[in-house]
Amino acid sequence: MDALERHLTQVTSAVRVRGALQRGWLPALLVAFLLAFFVAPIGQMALYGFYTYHPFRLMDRDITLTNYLAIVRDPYISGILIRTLRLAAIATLLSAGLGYIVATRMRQARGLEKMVLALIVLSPLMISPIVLAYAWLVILAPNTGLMSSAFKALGLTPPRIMFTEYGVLLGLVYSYMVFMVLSLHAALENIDLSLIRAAQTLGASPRVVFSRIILPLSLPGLVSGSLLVFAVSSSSFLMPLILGGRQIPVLATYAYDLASFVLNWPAASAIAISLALVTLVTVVAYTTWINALQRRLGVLEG
Amino acid sequence: MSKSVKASDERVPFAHSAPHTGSTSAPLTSAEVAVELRGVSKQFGEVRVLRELNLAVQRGEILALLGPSGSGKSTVLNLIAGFFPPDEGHILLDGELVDAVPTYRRNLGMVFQSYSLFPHMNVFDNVAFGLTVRRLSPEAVRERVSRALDLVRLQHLAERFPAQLSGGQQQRIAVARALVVNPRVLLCDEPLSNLDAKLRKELQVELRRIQRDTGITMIYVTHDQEEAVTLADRIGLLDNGTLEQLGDPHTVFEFPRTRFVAEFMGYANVFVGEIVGRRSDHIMIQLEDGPQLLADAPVSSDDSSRVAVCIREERIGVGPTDTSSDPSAGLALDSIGHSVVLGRIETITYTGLSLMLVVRHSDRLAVRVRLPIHDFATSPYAVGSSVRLTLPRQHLRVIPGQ
Repeated sequence: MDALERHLTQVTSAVRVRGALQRGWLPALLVAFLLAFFVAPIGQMALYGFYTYHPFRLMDRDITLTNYLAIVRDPYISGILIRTLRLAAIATLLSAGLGYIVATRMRQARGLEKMVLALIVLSPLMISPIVLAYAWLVILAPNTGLMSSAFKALGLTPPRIMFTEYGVLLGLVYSYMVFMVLSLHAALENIDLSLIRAAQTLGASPRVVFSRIILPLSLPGLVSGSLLVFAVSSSSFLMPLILGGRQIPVLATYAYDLASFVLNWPAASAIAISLALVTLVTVVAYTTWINALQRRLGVLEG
Repeated sequence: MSKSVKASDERVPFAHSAPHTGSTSAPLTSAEVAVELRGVSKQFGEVRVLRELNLAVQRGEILALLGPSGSGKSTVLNLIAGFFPPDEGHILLDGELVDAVPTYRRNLGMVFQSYSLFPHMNVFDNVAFGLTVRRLSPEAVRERVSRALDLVRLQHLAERFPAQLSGGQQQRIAVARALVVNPRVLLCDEPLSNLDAKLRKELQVELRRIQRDTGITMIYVTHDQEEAVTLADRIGLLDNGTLEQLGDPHTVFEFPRTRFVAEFMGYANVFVGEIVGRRSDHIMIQLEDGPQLLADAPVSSDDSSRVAVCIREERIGVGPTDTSSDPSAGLALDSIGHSVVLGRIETITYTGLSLMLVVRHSDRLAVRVRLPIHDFATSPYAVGSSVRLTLPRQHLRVIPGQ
């Protein structure tokens, strides 16, 4: 009897949930939640960006454009903006290049090899980013790091990677390539092997097979992977902080410094909002361009 | 089924001289061989897919590789294409060893079961692919693509994308794409298996025409024995990675060398028995737990007395029981020397053009018979009635060594 009652309760509650959905309660609840905890804080932050910084009172409610204009006008801040976008773009390109190699191998691999590869690719997602960043610190630290010791043991001068843009790039690619690999892998899995074989029999070398068959057919995967890697790279905080240090500020770390140490909330807010806007604009522009390209290549018509 | 030799074929049908050699043709000179496999073996994991296969494909012929799934027939094509190397043995194209030549330098054409047109290119670009890869001038590309599309009679679809075409159109485009590069051999991997029966028949005829127009060498993999017989100049039957029989369609169809070939080529009746008597032109076989049969057969040097006797279900005659003959004991023959077997009709199946009967002689012996019918209503047969089966001596095939 107990089981029956439980079952009946489940059924009735399921019916109730479905009813709520149909009446629009549940979607309304979701919208309300998003408004309250996502849109409102961001809106408030955008508003803070228009306030005036005051060293003692934190900020005054005098509306000003200074904070937003500074991002473009102040060469230091615009330099950080450009670096942020450049690093994210290079990290995206590197991820795409490496991602194709890894995803192709994953597609060909069978059994144990496939499992091990998948595990390696996914590991940055399964381990805390702080642990990962500090692991890189152990390897890359100037003078005392593993790499440095190895170079010295061989009588060579160790290259400087830590606290340079190379270090930040390494961290970004290492952390976020997984998004590229996963979306490329899904795209490659969808390409029928016989298409590749047909191209081979028709005289296409591996290079031609890649440029004329694999690349165009995996373009959707490349696009979604690129968008993901670019978005998370441009807003990445931890890797630039630990591997780049204060020498290589990016927008996220600079905004953090402004908010936490300088306590200039209006400037920090303006930077955070503009980072989000720049990412959004880049994503939209890129998607538009790719769609146009795909139309020209005839992918959509196929 | 009264399928005879193709009209174009010069070979004379024969009834008595069953060839027992692997190949009916004389040894080929190297200039006539387009593709050759020498002692090729291939293993995938634990599975031995091909076992020391030897095969020579003549220039300008259609060789059908026929066999059930898992027989290794597609593996033969993939090895010739060079998608993976053989474990043992060698592959020669035009007499040239190609073990170290990658697929894209072998100058092949291949047609796949799934059509495999490039979905992001229109028909023209698909057909042009092999030519643009070879860096031909745009004018030459346009001219040759146009000729190839004419060959498959789909010139008007050049601007379409593959997704806008029917399966039959896609496969014809795939054929044009493969032929436009003048390959030394066209490899076909069950190209018509995804099409419905009517379209399949149409395209068989069309492929045959295209082959005649171009003189291309074709290796055609299929699991459909009727398709192989219709299309091929020679048929190679594969089972378990071994070539069971290689010969022209008529020979393979009429004179199966092994029990596997007989069953695969549609011999519905395969009985096991023992030779109990030999004469100059016929032998007598005692079936297990059944009657004796008399078959025309050359007396082979094979001493084995255990044999399989095969007969097609269409070649058995059915008549009313005759009280004068007693089928239970020994050999019963009719007036012209055909074996007679009595039995009771167990099932009757109407298939449109024919009636399929299962006639039971004894617990262990049932005979399948197919009767052409013109009017179902006048059929004199009913389940349970006794009938007299005539097994013509010239239609019984005896396969030694069972």
